[in-house]
Amino acid sequence: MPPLFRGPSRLFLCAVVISLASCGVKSPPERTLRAVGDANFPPFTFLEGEEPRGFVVDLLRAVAEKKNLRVDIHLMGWSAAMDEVRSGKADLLIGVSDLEDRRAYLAFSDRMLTMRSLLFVPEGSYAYTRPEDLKGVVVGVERGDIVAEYLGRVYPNILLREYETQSAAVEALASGEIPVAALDYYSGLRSLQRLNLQGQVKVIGDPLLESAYCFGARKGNESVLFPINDGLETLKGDGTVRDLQERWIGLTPVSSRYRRYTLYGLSALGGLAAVLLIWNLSLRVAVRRRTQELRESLEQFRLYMEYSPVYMFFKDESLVYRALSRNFEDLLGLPLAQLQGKRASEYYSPDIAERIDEADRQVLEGGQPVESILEIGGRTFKTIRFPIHRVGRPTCLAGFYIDVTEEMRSKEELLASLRDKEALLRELYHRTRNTLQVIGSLLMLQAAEYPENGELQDLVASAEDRIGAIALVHQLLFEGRDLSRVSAREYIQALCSNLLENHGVDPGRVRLEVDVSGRPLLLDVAIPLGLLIDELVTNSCKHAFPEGRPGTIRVSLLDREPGRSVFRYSDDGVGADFDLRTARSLGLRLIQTIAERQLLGVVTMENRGGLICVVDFRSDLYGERV
Amino acid sequence: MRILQVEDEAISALQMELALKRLGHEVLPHVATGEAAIARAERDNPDLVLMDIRLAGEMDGIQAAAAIRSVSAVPIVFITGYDDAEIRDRASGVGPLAYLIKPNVIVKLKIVLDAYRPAPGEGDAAPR
Repeated sequence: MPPLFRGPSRLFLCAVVISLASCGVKSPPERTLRAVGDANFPPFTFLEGEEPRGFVVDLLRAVAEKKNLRVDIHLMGWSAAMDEVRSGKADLLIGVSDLEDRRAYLAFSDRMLTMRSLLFVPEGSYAYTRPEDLKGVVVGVERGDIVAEYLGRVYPNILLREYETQSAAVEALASGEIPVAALDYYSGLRSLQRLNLQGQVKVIGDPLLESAYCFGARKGNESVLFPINDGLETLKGDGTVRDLQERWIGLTPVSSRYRRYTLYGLSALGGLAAVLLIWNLSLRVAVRRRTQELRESLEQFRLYMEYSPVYMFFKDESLVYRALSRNFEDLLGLPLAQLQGKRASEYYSPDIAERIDEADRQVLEGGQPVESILEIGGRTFKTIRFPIHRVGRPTCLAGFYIDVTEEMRSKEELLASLRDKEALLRELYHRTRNTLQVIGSLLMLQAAEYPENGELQDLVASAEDRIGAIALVHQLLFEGRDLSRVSAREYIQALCSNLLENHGVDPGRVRLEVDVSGRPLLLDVAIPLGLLIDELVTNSCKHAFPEGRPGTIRVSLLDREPGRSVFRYSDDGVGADFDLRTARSLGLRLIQTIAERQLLGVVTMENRGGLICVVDFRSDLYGERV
Repeated sequence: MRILQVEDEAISALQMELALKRLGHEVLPHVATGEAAIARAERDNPDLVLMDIRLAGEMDGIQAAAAIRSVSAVPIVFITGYDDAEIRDRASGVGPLAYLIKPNVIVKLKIVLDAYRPAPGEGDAAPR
């Protein structure tokens, strides 16, 4: 097998190998770095005897180990340490918060961890949770600590009492010397632990300050921080930083704020859960109650539909039956299951279905109830349909069928009976009239036995006229639509015409003027009034127009007021002397008697260029009898 | 003039008969039914028939008049108690000489008879 590398290439390879090998070997440290820090800032930097100890001390040593640095660590007062770095006597300040104002003279490494300053109070104290609560209150701080500087600058009303160390401030707090102290969280907790004061002092409120805790170097001497940053990155990556935190500070601390928020959150969640639970329970109760109500309502509806003697239905907007009462089964001879979900045309005959659909459309289009009569299976139903307006849904309809077969039959019978009675009554009027005529005829026939007796003939003729006046009322009642009353105009006109005709008066010679505006007359008023007219017309025919004298007869009947009428009769004939009170003729006595005693009226008769007779009488003396 | 009176009310018929005789007419014995009227008209050949519309029997006066007029040209005078348009229409179908409404039928009839002149060769001559 030929060698892979030969000649000059073999020499180059050796050089590369040597140089690569030299990279893996730590180069000797250039010089010893002087690192200074606070001797009294446990657990970060503090002296145990003469030995520097703490999280930052170990971290720096680990970095030095990683980066092959030689460091000489000296812990002292915080101010002295700061002075050494600023003056260039020391290279590295171990453990310093990165603050804006410090950047003027210090350079900072990457963050080791986040420092928080909080209020420490005796257990059971809740008076001070925020800086705003501390106005005029003595607050213990560590001299030179950032929180001392911060509070003094931002809250000048707070009375700061400075202690040399955080521990001294904690002791003062525990002894009651001061009511509150503003300290670094980790350092404060460490002091509590060391002094065995857990349970007597606690942390309260939100952090007052948060800052990055770093290594520091004098401004202009930043290069000393480069290997530190490299080392920190390496140690964060390999878990050394986390291990050291666990060792010196305990597990990654949870700030009181987060703990409090967690508590708040849990409480809120608990509250919410309780509210939800109560809500859920009340909802369950409401749902159960509503369900029960709904169930009862449905049951009531079902029973209603089950037992209703009236036929009931409910249709949707497409005229499809959605619900029907049980009795439809008997009416249509089909089970309800076959009726629901169908239209009328699917089980009614076409003509009935058409009538039903038409009525339904009227309801939906008109939005009003519609009544109709339907004949189904030989029975008669009155139906009432009505619209049901639903919010956000099309209008549907419902309705009832009421079996009115018997009612209609009774009504028909009643109407038929009424028609029979009417016919009977008319027949009675007809027969009465005929009977009256027969009576008149009999009188005439009897009188005919004495043709020579003129007085008798006159007497019988008068009687026949009077009978005729009564018969005419019956004739008009028979002919008219109203079985109780006759038209006053018709009666008076016919009566006067008949009398004039009967007396052989030429209508061209003696004119008749009738002016009647009165209401129809009851038989009880028409007959006496007719007899009265008969006497007056007969009188005029006999005496007023002798020897072919022309003239006019005027008859009027006017309603003066409700229930009161005025009858007026006049002729423009030759007139006659008479006195009603002493009159001996039957005619005049009849006029007076009828007017005053039967019609309860006031009669006045005058002879003033002819005969004038006025009767003011009550027309409401009688009520309707048939 | 020989007059046949058809009237189911005997008293009324008697009164009419009396009145007609006073006017100088010959009055045949009255009949009460349409059937009798047809037979009597055929047998006695009257100059005029006074026909009441409401009659006893199956036929009314209009039916009887129509039957008579179908075989004879004898003039018919209808007498009725009521002015009913339907009856008047039916009656006019027979072509009556007059249609008289009660009462005062005698007065009205006298006017009709006074004005009536039978056509030549139609029945016997009038009495005047």
